[in-house]
Amino acid sequence: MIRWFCPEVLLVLTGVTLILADALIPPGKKEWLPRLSILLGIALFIFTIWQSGQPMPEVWANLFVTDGLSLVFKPFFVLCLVGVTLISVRYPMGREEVVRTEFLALPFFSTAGLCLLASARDFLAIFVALELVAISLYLLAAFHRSRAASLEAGMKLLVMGGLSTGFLVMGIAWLYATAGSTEFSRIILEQAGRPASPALLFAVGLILTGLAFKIAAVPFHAWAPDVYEGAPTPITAFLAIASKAAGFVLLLRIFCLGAFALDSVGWVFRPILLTMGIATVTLGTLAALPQRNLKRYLAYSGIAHAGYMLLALGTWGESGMGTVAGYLWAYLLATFPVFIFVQELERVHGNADMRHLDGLAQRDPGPALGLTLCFLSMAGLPPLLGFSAKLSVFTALWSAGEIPGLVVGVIMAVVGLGFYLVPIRAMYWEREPDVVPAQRFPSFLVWILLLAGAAQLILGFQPRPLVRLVEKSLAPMVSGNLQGK
Amino acid sequence: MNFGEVTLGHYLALSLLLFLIGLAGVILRRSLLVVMMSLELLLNAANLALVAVGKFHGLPDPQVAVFFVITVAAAEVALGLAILVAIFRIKRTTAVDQMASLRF
Repeated sequence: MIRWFCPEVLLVLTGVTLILADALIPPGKKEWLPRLSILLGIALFIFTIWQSGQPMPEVWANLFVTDGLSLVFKPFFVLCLVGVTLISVRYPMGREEVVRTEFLALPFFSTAGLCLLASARDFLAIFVALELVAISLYLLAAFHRSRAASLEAGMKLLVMGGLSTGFLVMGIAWLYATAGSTEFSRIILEQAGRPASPALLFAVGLILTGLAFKIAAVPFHAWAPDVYEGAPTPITAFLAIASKAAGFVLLLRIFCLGAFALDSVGWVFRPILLTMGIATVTLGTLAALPQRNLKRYLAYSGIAHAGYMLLALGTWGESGMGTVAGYLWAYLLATFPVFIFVQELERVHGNADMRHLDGLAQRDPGPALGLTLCFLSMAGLPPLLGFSAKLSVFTALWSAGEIPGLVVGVIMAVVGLGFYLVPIRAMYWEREPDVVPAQRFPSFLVWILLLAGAAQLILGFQPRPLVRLVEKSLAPMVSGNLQGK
Repeated sequence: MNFGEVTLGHYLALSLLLFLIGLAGVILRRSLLVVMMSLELLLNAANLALVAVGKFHGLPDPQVAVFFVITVAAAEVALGLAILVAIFRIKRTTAVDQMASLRF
């Protein structure tokens, strides 16, 4: 009985409940809705964690499976949702302040799609889940209707998302034409031990293109900085972390354990993934240097991180797969606190310009310290968490013998250190601007940032919990694969 | 005049052609309205391929998939038009090159 209440069902029910509650609650009591949504989000997170300990059977004839990957990433997505809900409540919406229930409810639907995605093992299911995620996000990105930038961000996301959908659907059509099915286990059975036909490779290429848009990999990255800058900050965080992670979960599922985990496909697509990884790391790192807007800066930083994960994916092995899973968690823990800060910065100053960081350390030493630790962790400085993540990427590349990827990765990690130092330098060495706004950051922000900084340190020294998580994501995978056959 | 039988290859070639036209439209056209029409063309090219594959291989699944794609495309366009109207209210234009508030 309880197994029907998987996170997806509960997420959709919660979203519907919130919208209904908005209609039923009298206008004077609306301020309860944000609190309700936060509480429900946290309850769902606890439920998802609890359920990941329970054995779950496969349902819908292999369309929807529960394996290590889905068990590790459903809590990831729901955690993103909790974070987004927490900061959505404080997003300064201006004159649209009254109609914001959808702003709180839509992320629940989007997260339901993400969780479905983590469990899907059929391209048609993947398509439907991806669209559930994407269409909610188009709406959310354009939600701040009085700001032209937000509308443009929504439009750009929609056009790019539509393009990626087109590639994906075309890939699915060609997959039907060559393999006769879109179910992973059947494709494997059909294609194993044969040389890959050009039509199959074409289908894989189309699907990879569709997903490359989602993870903002070069050369399909151009939308990311614009959309990240224009969208409301909570949605930017969701796009940058949850949506990107979803793309990688799909790539892992497709290339490492499902559908195209074939040597014949790998022979062609490993070099492509590695080349894309190299290009993505290089562009993300170099283009971040001149950025003066924190949201654009984080977009390029996210592109660079996607590049490292693509490099790990290009090693095409189990170690590469575990590395990506661990890297995503490290990315979440280091990036989300920064987005929380960016939103508070926008509340105080009206935009996320980097010059507002000048002299922050004298004004607010707590947030400055937390932010510094997060930025250094993103840069991959030992002994912080990001260092373990980057190190595991490099180890995977080394053991796979991918020397060009390794060399570029290491060089860009060093260059990246330079660009992560830009905000840190601004906080500690720049003089405070003369016009000091009277408002200070709320105390909860100080605590969150300090906590996040401490997490970088603690998990950096003792990455055992994360390693266990990654092992969990790996362990049942192989058996799950066999069950599929 | 007899051009021979129409095969799956013909349909797939046509769908690829339509796909490329749609892609070119998305990349090159200036008006957002036309860009969205091109997106539709892109998805319908894929639909054509799906239907043809279903017909020639005798599979029901691809033909069912078409309904999913149509539904999703409709939702996407409805949303796109809504955003377009909102953009037009603020900027009084739907030209792509006027969408430049997000540049560094």
